[in-house]
Amino acid sequence: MAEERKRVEDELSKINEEMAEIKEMLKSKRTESFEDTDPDEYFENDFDPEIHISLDDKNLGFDEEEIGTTISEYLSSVIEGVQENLKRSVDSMGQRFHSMERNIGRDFAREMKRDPEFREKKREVRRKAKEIGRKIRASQKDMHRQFRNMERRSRKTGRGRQVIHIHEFSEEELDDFFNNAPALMSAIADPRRLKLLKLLENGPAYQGELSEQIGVKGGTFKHHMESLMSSKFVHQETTRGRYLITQLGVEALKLAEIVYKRFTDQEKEFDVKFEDDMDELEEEAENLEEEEQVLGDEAENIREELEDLEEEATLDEAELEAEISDADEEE
Amino acid sequence: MIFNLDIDKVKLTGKGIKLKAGEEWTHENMKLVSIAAELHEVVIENEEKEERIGWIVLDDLVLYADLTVHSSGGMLGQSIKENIKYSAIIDFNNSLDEFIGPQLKDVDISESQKILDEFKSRSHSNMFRNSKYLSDKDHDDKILAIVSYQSGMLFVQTSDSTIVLSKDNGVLIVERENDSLVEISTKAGVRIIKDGEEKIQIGKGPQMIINGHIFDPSMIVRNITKSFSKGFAHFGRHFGSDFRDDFDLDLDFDF
Repeated sequence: MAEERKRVEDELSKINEEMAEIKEMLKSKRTESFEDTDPDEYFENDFDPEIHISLDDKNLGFDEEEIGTTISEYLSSVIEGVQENLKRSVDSMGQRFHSMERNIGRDFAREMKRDPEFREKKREVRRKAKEIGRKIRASQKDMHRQFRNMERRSRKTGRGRQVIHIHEFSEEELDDFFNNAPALMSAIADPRRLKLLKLLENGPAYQGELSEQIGVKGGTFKHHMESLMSSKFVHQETTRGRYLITQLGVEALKLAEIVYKRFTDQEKEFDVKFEDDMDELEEEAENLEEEEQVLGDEAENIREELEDLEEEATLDEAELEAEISDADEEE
Repeated sequence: MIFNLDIDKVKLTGKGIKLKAGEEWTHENMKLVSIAAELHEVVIENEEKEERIGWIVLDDLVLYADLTVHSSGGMLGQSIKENIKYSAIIDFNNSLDEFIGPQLKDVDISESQKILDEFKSRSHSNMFRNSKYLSDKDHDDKILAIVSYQSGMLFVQTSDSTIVLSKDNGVLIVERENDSLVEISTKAGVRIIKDGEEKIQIGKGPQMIINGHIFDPSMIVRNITKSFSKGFAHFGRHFGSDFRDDFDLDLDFDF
């Protein structure tokens, strides 16, 4: 019995060693795939679509940006499509491996029942199958992590954002800018005036129509319109008296829209940061779940092995008792 | 009735009217405002009858016209203001009658005769020479033309379009109903707007717009030279020469 106990203890220490090895291996795998690789750097090094075509002409700065943005948008949409397909492929691949893992387990269990020789290899096979499963799950997680990083990057860089190039002001121009720009900006610093510009963007209109739409009449309407007209954002026909938005007016309206859009985008960036933190926490939780699962699997392995050993010990004991009783009978 | 504009049959009647300052006449997208203008009646002898075809303007009349259209990028074209002192107004359909009124008085035509004579002498080399058709009285299409040699301007207004040729504004043609504009000037270059969309634009900036598409001539030339460069590089490699891949023809085009 003492020998048997010693054998069981040896077996247990071997299992512990193997567990330690598995843990070490998992740890190194996690470090390798999650920590050492900077996904941003990985994608930057591996994927450079060269969207910034150099036109080598200062006069074309705006359009170069526009072309770059268009290409960037197009490529991003293509990448998004590819990304979605890859996600689906990885998921289905994972599912297939899971079912394969289950099938292997079932086949071996069946074989074991048929042939006792398999029993000895039972633990090893089960461990191997679980190890494969874990590796697949880890790769799957790694891929998803990369995709999430790509998504985060595209959210942060705010693709599709256009940059308006303005040459640097000379000192004289800068003085003029400081003196006159506030008056121009104040012309759009009113909700009714912005509304007037937005309405005129659709086409020329008479005072009556505009007045009705913005709910302002008489002197107040005139005051707002004069502000827009003195800034040359709106032009009034000398004959029919209709109001038309000028090219400068369209630009002023767009400026207000761009500034507002970028401001709200910036607000969204905070949301993105919050989302990023949430993503990281979720990831951590997933990792913990994974570890819990690994430890649970290992504990189950140990339990099963103990059961096997106890079963073997019982069998051996029974055999021993049978042998003893046979011997007694012989005596 | 179709007028046969024989310039030699055009004459002053010795009748005219003095408009008060501030009187206004608006028609379509044009407006005439009087500062203190004296207008002398001009007629044409037509089959032994005299038909009024216009006026000679002695003093100040101000012409305002909106040659503007709305486009997706904002208003295009311009509103013009022209002083039409010492000018001729051609008004076959008597559109201006409501403005000028019928109370004509005898006037001194010595000064206006000089203007008419100048008009006659110049008409041999301008668009009105041998004009067979300018307006049909039976048709609703009213044409009003103002010729000002002093400010170098021709203004023509029909029921659906306005044409201005002037030293300051170049050529401007507006079709009001279609939101269409043709503008040829040193400031704007060549610009054609149809249905509020910029179809052609040449002369402003390094690019041009043709049929709504943006073309950049320097880019086109660069692409062509790049193709040639590649061709030469391929040729060089094929024959074992030292041509580089990006062999540059070094052609410099300025637009």
